[in-house]
Amino acid sequence: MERGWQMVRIRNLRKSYGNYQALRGLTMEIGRGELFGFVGPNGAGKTTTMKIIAGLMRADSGEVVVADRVLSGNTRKIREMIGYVPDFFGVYDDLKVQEYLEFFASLYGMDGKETRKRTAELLEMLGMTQWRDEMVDGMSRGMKQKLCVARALVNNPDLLILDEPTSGMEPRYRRQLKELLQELCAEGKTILISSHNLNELAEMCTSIGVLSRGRLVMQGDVPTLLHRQQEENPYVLQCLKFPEEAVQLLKSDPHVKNIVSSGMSISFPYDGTQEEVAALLAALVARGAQITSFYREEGSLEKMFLDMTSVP
Amino acid sequence: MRHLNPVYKIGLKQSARTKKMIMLLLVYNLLLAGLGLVVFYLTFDRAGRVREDVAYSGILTLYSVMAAMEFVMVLFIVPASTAGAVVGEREKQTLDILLSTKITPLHIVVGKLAASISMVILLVVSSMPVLSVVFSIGGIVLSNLFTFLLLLVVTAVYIGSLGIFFSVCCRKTTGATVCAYLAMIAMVFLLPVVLFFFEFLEAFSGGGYWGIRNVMYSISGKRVIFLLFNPLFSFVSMLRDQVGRGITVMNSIGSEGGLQYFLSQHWFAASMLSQLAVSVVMIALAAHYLSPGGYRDRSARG
Repeated sequence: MERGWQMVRIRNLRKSYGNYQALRGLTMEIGRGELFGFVGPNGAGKTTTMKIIAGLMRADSGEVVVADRVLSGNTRKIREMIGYVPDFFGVYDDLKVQEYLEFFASLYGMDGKETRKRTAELLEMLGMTQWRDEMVDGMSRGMKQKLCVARALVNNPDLLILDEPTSGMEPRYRRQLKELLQELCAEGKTILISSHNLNELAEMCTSIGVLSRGRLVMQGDVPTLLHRQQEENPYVLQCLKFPEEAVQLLKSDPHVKNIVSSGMSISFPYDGTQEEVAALLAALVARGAQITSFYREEGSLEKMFLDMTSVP
Repeated sequence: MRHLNPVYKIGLKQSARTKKMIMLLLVYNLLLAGLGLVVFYLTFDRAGRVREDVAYSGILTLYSVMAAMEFVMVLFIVPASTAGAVVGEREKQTLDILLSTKITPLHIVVGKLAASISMVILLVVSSMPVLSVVFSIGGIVLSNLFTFLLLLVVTAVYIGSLGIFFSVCCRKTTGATVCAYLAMIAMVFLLPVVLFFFEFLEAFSGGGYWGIRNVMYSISGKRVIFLLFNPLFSFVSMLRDQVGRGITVMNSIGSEGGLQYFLSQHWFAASMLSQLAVSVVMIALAAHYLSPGGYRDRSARG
């Protein structure tokens, strides 16, 4: 599968529950083979969007295209190529692990032999072979979450939709899941994942979309977004002596705004070019400021998320 | 088994695993056998000793009593077993997962209904050997038993389709169960009462005391068609055909000629078809409500 072609295209999607507008003209795209992180505060519309793409909910208006097929009218066809993990377990406690997977395989029309083969593959892929004959009821929370992921992969989907799959998962299982998703992504599958763990998303995703109040406020690949956010971050300067001298000089520079001085540490946003920054640093040294460090604050997905989704 | 509805197959597997089902089978058949034994004893053994003659037609009483017991069992077990079928999936949070697969809402509804009523049908079939005691004397033939089985299956599908409809519409099992029982009571017991009430009103305004007296013997006009949707009247009609016993209104339906006469001659078949038609509508509605954009969608906030 070629990366770059759009797996999901959403245009002006709207959905309301009574008077509450969950989606207000959402427009976004997810390329084939992308591991797309969906970020947003509670109630931003992430789950609603995911449910609409999975064909579980109908939008009030707008268009969703999955793998070049318009969702409306092709829901059943599109479901065949989607694996969906909701933000809850959704397991049958009174079934054995193998029976559970075989049941879902049969829902996709697989016969007995095919079902058993696929089930064995999935259990091995997720390191759950020894759990095959165990009742689901006796499994831990993390194992049930892994089983849900295995279930979503039973039809070998092109698009995997995971709604907060790692919440409450222990670190070891989280790492396993991250590796599995990256492996699937490398195989060409498109993955849409939502999570509140932003660092985790930053580590594993190829791109991120930030959703706020039913609209996409930012979308792009993770390094670009972090770089863009970093450019808006303040510089931090630390001196060994005479910070007042440094502050005086900084105040005279037209590119410097909102200087925050705390002991030997000075923080200031700067909107000049790289050359102007270099000149400023040289001037500071010439003025006798004994500088021990000078750097721009690192970009973080969390800060970006807070900036993007803050209520005005 | 390959082409069987997977929802039906898994439903059967889950039900068969519970101890409740085994206990229900045991207790139900014990009760039925005990009742049969008592009626058999009273009708033949004891009556023979007291009166020194045996009314062999008493076997028909035994059949009627046991058939009524099975019929009532279906009426009261099916709403409970079907009402929780879909809403139970919602409560277990597995409904969205089912709906996200290739299977259609119609398959889910049909699979759930079939799995729920299969357990009731199993109860009925398991009791057939006990019911076969009526063959010991005669008067009831095998085809009568099959007709009775058909009635029970159609009644189970009919009442079950109401139950499954409420199971889709309600958010909690308790609510769905209450609605399913109310619907069953309305269709089975309240409908004839309402029809008779209208008859009384009309008769009172038309003929005073004599008019009211006549109401006791018939429901007139096209109103009688509503009774086609009443399983109790289907049961009574079947008993009338099989053992010659039925309530007076069934006999007098045919007296007015035309549609009523035709219905009185083919009441059982017509009522079975009518109830199956309603079942199809209820199943289709349930499937529609379960689809994206249906009732479930409007009430869910994600």
